[in-house]
Amino acid sequence: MKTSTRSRFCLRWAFAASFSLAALAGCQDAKPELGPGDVRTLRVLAVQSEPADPVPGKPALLRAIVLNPTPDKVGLVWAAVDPSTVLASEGARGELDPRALGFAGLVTPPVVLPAAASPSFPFAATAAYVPAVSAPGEVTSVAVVLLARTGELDIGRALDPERQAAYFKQLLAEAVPAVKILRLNDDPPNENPRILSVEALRRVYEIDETSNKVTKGTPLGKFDIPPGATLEMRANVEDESPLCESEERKDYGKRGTSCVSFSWYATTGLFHGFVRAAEPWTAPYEAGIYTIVVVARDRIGGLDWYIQDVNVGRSVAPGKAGRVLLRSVNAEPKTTPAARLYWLPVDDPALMADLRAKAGSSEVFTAAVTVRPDMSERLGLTIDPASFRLVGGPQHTTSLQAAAEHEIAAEIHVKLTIEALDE
Amino acid sequence: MKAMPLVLWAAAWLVAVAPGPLAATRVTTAPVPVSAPALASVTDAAAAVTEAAAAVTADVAAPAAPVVNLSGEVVERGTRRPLADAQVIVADLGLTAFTGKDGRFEFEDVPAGVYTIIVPIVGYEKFQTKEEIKRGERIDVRYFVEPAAGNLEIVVEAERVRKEVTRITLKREEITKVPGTNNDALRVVQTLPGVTAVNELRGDMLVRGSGPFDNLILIDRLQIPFAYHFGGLKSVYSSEMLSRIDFYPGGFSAKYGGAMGGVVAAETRPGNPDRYTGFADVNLLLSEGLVEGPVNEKVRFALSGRRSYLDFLAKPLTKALAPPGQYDFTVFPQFYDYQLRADVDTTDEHRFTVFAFGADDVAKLFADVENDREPGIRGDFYVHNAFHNQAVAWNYEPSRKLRLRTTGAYYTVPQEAALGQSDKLDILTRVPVGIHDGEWDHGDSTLRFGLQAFQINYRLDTRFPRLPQRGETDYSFTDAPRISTRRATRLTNASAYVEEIWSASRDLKIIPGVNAGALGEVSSPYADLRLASRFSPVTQTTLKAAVGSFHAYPNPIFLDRDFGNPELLPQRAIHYVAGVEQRFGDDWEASLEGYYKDLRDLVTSNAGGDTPFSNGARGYSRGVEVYLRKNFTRNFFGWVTYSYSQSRRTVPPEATLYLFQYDQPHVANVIASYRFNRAWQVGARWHYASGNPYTPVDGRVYLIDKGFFVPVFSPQLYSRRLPATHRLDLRVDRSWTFDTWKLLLYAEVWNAYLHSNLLGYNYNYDFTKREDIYSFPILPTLGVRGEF
Repeated sequence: MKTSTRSRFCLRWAFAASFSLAALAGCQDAKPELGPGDVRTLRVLAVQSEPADPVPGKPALLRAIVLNPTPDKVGLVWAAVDPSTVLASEGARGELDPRALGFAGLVTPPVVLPAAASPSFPFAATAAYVPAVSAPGEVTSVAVVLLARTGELDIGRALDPERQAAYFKQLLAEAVPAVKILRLNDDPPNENPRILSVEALRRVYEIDETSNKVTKGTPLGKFDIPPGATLEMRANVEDESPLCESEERKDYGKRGTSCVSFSWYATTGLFHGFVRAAEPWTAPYEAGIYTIVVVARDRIGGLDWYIQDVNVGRSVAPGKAGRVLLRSVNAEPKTTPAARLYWLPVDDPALMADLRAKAGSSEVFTAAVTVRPDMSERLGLTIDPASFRLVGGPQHTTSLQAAAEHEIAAEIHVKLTIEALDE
Repeated sequence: MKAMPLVLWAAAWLVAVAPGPLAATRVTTAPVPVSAPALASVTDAAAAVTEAAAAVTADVAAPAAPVVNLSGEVVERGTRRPLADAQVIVADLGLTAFTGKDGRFEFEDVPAGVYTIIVPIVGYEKFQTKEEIKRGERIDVRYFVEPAAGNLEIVVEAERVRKEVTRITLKREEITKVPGTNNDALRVVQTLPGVTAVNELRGDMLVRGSGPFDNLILIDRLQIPFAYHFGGLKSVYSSEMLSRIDFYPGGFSAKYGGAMGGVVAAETRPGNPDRYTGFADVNLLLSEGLVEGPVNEKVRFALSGRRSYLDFLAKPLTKALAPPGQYDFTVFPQFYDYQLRADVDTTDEHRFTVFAFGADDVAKLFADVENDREPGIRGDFYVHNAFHNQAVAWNYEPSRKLRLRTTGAYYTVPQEAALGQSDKLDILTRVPVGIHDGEWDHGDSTLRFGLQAFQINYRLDTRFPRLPQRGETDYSFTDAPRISTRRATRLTNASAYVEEIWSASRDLKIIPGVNAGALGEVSSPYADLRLASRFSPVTQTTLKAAVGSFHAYPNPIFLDRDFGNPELLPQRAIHYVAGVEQRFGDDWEASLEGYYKDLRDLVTSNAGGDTPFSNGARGYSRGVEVYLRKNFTRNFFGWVTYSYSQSRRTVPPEATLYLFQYDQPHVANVIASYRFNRAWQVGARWHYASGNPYTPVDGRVYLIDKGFFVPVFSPQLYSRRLPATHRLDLRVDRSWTFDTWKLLLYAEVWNAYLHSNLLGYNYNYDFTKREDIYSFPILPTLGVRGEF
């Protein structure tokens, strides 16, 4: 269940403004769109400080995870600045200077990371030490800014004290700054949560063609799913704070309240939610090994992440000779006496194999297909002309057009009449 | 036998023409000459009378005690209003009677027979019927007389002397029939010059560049805690209970303290003194009912109530629109309100009025949605806002020159909000109020004076996040520190005013006044000096000017030690107003007015610091307004307004002036309503307003610890403006009049030409895309109403 930014804003407003009808009217468009978890451009996902609350006079280790779906190199610049300037929203950012807090310029020399080796594993990681800090004056917090930008960096300019500030501002305009607030010597000090594991929550179903009954299917591999299938995963975390989804929070006084929320990220496929410990992810239609990242945040500065591979393959949904077999993960398929509903993608080999097994017969198939922007060009179904003859279809509803124009996910029904040929 | 009728006829004629008032229920057994004005409308009757003199054949009893054998009542059709002094003619006999105050008439000793009865009344359709009189029987009849087309039920009031520099008065017919306002009095006020709304959907009023919370809305001198159900759906007081609304956009009297924007002073009407009447109204949003009438000769009342159907209608709609399981309204937004007024006329000097009114809004929502920015916002949302007021007003007029009014009131205001299981904000406020007003006429001048005191007792029971500060883009409801408190707080306010309406000459009125007040130990006292003048050098032309100082204390929650800043000063403004009014006959008037408002010590949200609010902002507004109005008389009313304004504010610590966030330089309204006949009335309203300014998003920052993006706004605050909004609203009323009741069907179409009015933008999660938010493309409403 994904909520658009509009809906989220509306919820806040509706609460503050006593649920006026106007607000409710404005909230009625929860059209799915690419959400925070569906990363398609270079993005810094998380930066962890160890310890979570640095102690003045002692260094802290910063680890970052950066997601780069592009084929380019990534330049990274770390800096420590005054939090009030980097978060200012009314023009005060013009005064942002990495030297303002008395640090020796950038936290570390700029880093250039090579392009990701594989599109399915587009992650880059970097680490930096915040130098020992004796908080100057009354500074109680430091904002660590990580600027990630594709392309080369002018290392010399970045390191030159005279030109550093100007270069930093230039980079600031070119990249989206990712900001982490380090609270110095907070009492009691916070600790990072720990993600202990990520587990796959799956239920596999099969439909028997003759009886039209849905049965529990044979378990697949732990993180193996067919193309286009949806897999729900759950992160198990160790932290004192309750989960945000429990509606409780731990009170940290002036610092605020704490609860653990999650962010799920992937460069392909589609997340249907992105804040709970357990969230479903729909796999792409290309086979391969894909990497999912989940970040757990206690929302007062502590965080951890976990990287999990998911195998999306054709071999995981075989057809069985002599009958049509549907295998579905997590979503229980529905059948009707008049037409069978197939929840597999239209180019899934299971459908092809089973049709081939029914040579000489003619049958009408109705397939419910989840079509996403990257699937819009696939609407012409792939039918092997050597084995099948397309008698009727494909036909689809008008919602298809809307789906393509607005780049949203939509469920359409493709009705096919296919006649199998004698071999 | 034939001589007897002639004798009787002559005797009756002598009685009829004898000096002195003719008793309304005087029984005649002979025709009575009708007066000249009546004659014109009873030509047929006169002819019938002449003919009847020779045609009477019925037996006439020997002189004996007269016996009433034909009596009845003449009432207006539809309203059952008794018609006094109406002439009732037995045409065949030439007999005439006049009705009394209660509409009743009697005839004595009418011979048996079938007669034509005629009731001719100026302004009404001629009423004619047949009655059969039988020997020894008495019949009692009731005649429903249809008003003639164009004869509206108008309460003609003498034009009240204008003592304020600017006062616009709306009468009941105008309040309830302006298209696009859905019978909502406060929405009608928004069509007046100098007024606009925050946007197409929010009901908050903006008056001459002031903010939505700078205005004072009074019902019979009593303030209402909140003006609209759910912030803009419908105002909380039924327009049907109002007799009049006076609107003061600026430079207003010292009588009104505690406001620096505009004043809306509504007056309720007493119940019907003659009979029980009322109505029931059903439309798509709510049902409304009113009943009024006399309890006895000295006591009369009016009671009305409304209840919305949102909870019945919208639940299936929401289920259809929202994804399954995400929203579930356990209590869909619903509201009700009620108003009671009872008048007790004890003596000519003393009059008591009892008021009770209140409103209640409640909504409960279970939202099972994921929100990356606010993962803590889920579960139950509950909002309950209400107020209940009971008041007694004592009007005492010891002499014709001295009028005193003392009002005592008691408010109970519960406000509750809850989120999930742990966050709640409960405020229960009780406010006793005492108001005393007096007017003393001396010579041609009038001294007005008064004092007011109230005590705000509120009890907080909260666990709620602190409020966001200005520019705090990384504020998160989920993470913000909670303020947990359970305590009672008291604020006492006292103020007084004196104002002299000095008639310096026949053409010149000068009105100096002072209003001073204090809010307990919390905020500093103030004293406002005001001066207004009206000069009429030529008949129907008035020049006017005013200058004055105005203070307003912030909302008590802004003064709270936990949620606000107890050190806040009252906000202040200085109004400068000048203009000219021109009347054209009795019906038409026009005005041109300019103003400048200097705004100081405005409460603003702090950017950082220890307190969330300060008096750091200042600004100004200035503008010109043109107004042409056709007053409601018989069939037509309407007005045309155009307002030009500039409103600017500073944002501390800078001294730079930015556009006020609701600055709408051009606002225009055209209102017209025409009544073709008693059955049909149509109206139209065209509204135009400049779009509100907004600050564009220049960039974004990703907050690693929160996991969401926040926008970076342009340093040029409010440097862009939304497109102007405009729309046409239409209204049609169709009524059917029956003997004892009336049926009214009305339809309104809001935004009839489907103009897309942009309200603002929504941004996606990383502020790289935005989408437009529009107001309703069109909004038809339909209602039916029965009046008895």
